[in-house]
Amino acid sequence: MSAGLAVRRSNRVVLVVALLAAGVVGTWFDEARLQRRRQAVHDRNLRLAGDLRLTDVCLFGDAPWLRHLSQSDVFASMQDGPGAFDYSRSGSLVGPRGTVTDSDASVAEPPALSR
Amino acid sequence: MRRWLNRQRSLADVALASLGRRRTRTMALLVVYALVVSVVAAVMLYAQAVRREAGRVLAQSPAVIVQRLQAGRFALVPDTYAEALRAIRGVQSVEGRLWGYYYDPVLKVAVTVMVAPEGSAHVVQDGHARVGPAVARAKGLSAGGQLLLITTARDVLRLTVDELLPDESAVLTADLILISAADFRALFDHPAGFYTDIALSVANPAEHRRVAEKVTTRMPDTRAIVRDDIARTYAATFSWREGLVLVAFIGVLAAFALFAFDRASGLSADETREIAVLKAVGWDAGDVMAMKAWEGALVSAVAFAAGYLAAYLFVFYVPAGPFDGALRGWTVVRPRIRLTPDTDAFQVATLFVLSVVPYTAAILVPVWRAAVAEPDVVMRG
Repeated sequence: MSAGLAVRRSNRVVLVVALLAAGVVGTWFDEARLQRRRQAVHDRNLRLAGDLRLTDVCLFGDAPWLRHLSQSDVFASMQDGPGAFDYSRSGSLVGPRGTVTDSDASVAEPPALSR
Repeated sequence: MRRWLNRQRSLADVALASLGRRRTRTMALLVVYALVVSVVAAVMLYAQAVRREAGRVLAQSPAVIVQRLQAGRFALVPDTYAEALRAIRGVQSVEGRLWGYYYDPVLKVAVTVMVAPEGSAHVVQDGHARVGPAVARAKGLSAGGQLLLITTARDVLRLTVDELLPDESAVLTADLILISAADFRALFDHPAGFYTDIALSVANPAEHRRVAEKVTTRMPDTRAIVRDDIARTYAATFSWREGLVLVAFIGVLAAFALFAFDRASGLSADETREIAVLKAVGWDAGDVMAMKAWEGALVSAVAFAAGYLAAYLFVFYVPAGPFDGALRGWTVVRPRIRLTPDTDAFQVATLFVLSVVPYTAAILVPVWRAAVAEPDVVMRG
């Protein structure tokens, strides 16, 4: 047996695979660590949202209906993405209202006409 | 057990030697494979983190928001509505909210101007303001500085900045300006006795929807938005975005699948000869297939692990990567948000299975065909 085979290839690869697997498992520990560390910030933000009666997160603001997505006018023009790219870029990535508010039965129904 | 392990290690040794003989091809495959896994994993991790972040911080939003519609457009809500809403059973408290969009002609962007509700820790005195971190950054404001806003009557409203809202709250307050009710009404010429909308608090979460239904029944010109709808809106939005980004990426995925399948299912002349030699020295078809299964599993598992790790580091440790724009959208006053990972084990497991199993399986069919043939026939070609 040659000296080169004294360290088997599989040993080296097992080491690499073990390191990568440890890295993947390590992401779970890192996730738990980050969640613990940011818990206080999340609690403060939760209280702030309650205190100011906030309804939306500030992620994209290139159009008012995108800034307050949950409060937006369901029949405003140019908000039925993905065709809205020319008007507001984030709008192109927001789903059509049908998928967003299927369960939203709260749009005012027109009052029944009295006879 | 020990014997079985030794056998598997020997098979892995032969598989690795085989891969080593085609080092350049194997490395190219590994890099492309890991890159494809990392893009899919990054989109998945990012969307999940943003979805959870939105759901988490909005868990204390008002139970029901009541808006008024007139001729199909939003209209201000008179305070008489508040009285009627108070009479609905289950409603604990009723608060009029004052908020709107102020178009800043310098920044060329609409920011959110809001009045903190009475009793809030963030109530602002007349002539003063509290400013969100992204607005403060964009306008170069600091505590004690002057914020100038142009009223609808084209007058200048001078406000002293009391304090900047903390950076850590950017996900909620990046573009927010908090001012007093009097300043709000002066800024927008907002009539007294009217609110932008009304927030209801309802003690029993199970009654939120019932209360909303009562509101729209009693006041047909209103629209009621329940807290659950808010959460669902964000969940649906980011699921949609995640899907859309992956759809945009589908061409690359298909090209890679074709490449990997072609690479895995078609044996080169060298590989066929190698199998024939192994058969000639006494290996049976089962051994050959186990060795090739090792080859496929090693390549795909290493690609998965490397790709997933790269995606994790990229999403949670590299600020503002390219997916930031694609998934989060665009805005002039951009919040600096540090995402907290919140992975879904099922999603990761699905990605692992989809990364490893098809490639390993695709390898086995041609190997089986070559392994069951007579070695001399295979060697002669």
